[in-house]
Amino acid sequence: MPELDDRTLVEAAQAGDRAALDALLRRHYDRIHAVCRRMTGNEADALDAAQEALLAVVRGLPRFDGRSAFSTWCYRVATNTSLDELRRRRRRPEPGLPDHEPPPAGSRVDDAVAARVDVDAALAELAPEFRAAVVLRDLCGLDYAEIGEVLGIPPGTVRSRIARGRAALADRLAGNQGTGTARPTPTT
Amino acid sequence: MSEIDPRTDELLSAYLDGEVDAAEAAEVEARLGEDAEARRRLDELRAAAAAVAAAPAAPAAAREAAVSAALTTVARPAEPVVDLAARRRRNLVSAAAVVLAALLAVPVLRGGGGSDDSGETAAQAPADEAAEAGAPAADAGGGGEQGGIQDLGALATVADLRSAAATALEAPRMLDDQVTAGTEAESEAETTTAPGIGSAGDTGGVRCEPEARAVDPELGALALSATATWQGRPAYVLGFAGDGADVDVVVLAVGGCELLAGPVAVDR
Repeated sequence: MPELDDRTLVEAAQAGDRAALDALLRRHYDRIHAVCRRMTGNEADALDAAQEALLAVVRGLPRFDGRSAFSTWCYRVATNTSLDELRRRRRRPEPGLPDHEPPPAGSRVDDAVAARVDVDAALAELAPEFRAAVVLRDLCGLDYAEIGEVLGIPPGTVRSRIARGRAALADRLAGNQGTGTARPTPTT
Repeated sequence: MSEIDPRTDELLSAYLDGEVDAAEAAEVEARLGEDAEARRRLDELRAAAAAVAAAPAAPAAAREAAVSAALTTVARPAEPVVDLAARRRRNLVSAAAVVLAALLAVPVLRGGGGSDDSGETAAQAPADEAAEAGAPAADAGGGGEQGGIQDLGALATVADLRSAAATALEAPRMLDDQVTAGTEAESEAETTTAPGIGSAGDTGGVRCEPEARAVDPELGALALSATATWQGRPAYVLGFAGDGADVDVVVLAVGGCELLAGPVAVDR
């Protein structure tokens, strides 16, 4: 069976084609999971959030109007279910959270180091709003306008959130602690 | 060494993403040309972006479990395309029709001589008679242009399928003609077989009926049997009577009966 594009599969799935829905979910699960993984910072919560996201995609599919790409819509759903998961997690004990050990002091960031450093821990230092902007950009490859649409903020705010979030992440990963950079929190 | 201030961070970050205007790009490039610290910071920001992108992959088992669980919820979707409430109301009727159709169709299929298309034509008769959905009245005069299986042409989308199936269902020559002109259909089947059907020993659409029913056991009696080219593949298009006006249409591949689309609710 030839590879069908998302638009065709969405249309078929909306019409009740379960095979098309299956193909759509299968195609997008990995990226949805990746968003949830980066947003929640640990595998257990990521799996829960990704499962919730898939259910939300299925429930919301009849209302998906195709104005954005299906993948972008999935990222929006995954971001929201992850934020929900984080809110739930704040209300319960956190035995499953990873140890947020700082990287070796004074290390320089390069690809090899980045691969070893606990990026989840570094991302966990960011407020969720900044994390979402960075994840949507660096993991999902959305442009600023799309991210603004997903997060409901203006492109200028997207730009500043990505910059501040990424800068904090770079400081953390590079071991540039004590540069006076406080945990960024949204002001706009 | 120069100081990397938040504005520079923002410019460098946006520059990485190609989200700067021409003036900003020129400013960044000038700064990078003369400032080693800015170049170092750009590398750090780029590495941070790459680290975020390298997310751990999902376990394959988790994907399978998540997809299966999500699909389970659409067995009875909140906003179904097909009116499931109506479908439930007709369950008793359609279940009886299915049993009756199966009982009558099997011996005909096995014992029918001639082409497989003749088997299809004969098998549709009891199924159609059992349907409660008010198929068009039989045209005893054989008003159809041909008694063979109808071809819906090239279909690329569900919208195409809906449109073609609706048109086919409107035509009075559908099943009723085939039922009343069974012998004629049988004799013409060899020559009127639709494109894509006559080769490779493929048989009539009824041969795919079990596969279609496996998609949804609540499908009603057979109300449409046609061929088409679905997204480039020769296919059978089977319609099953719904409650009232709708027909649930399923598309299956010629040769193997693989489900290609559906069920799609079509009004008639």
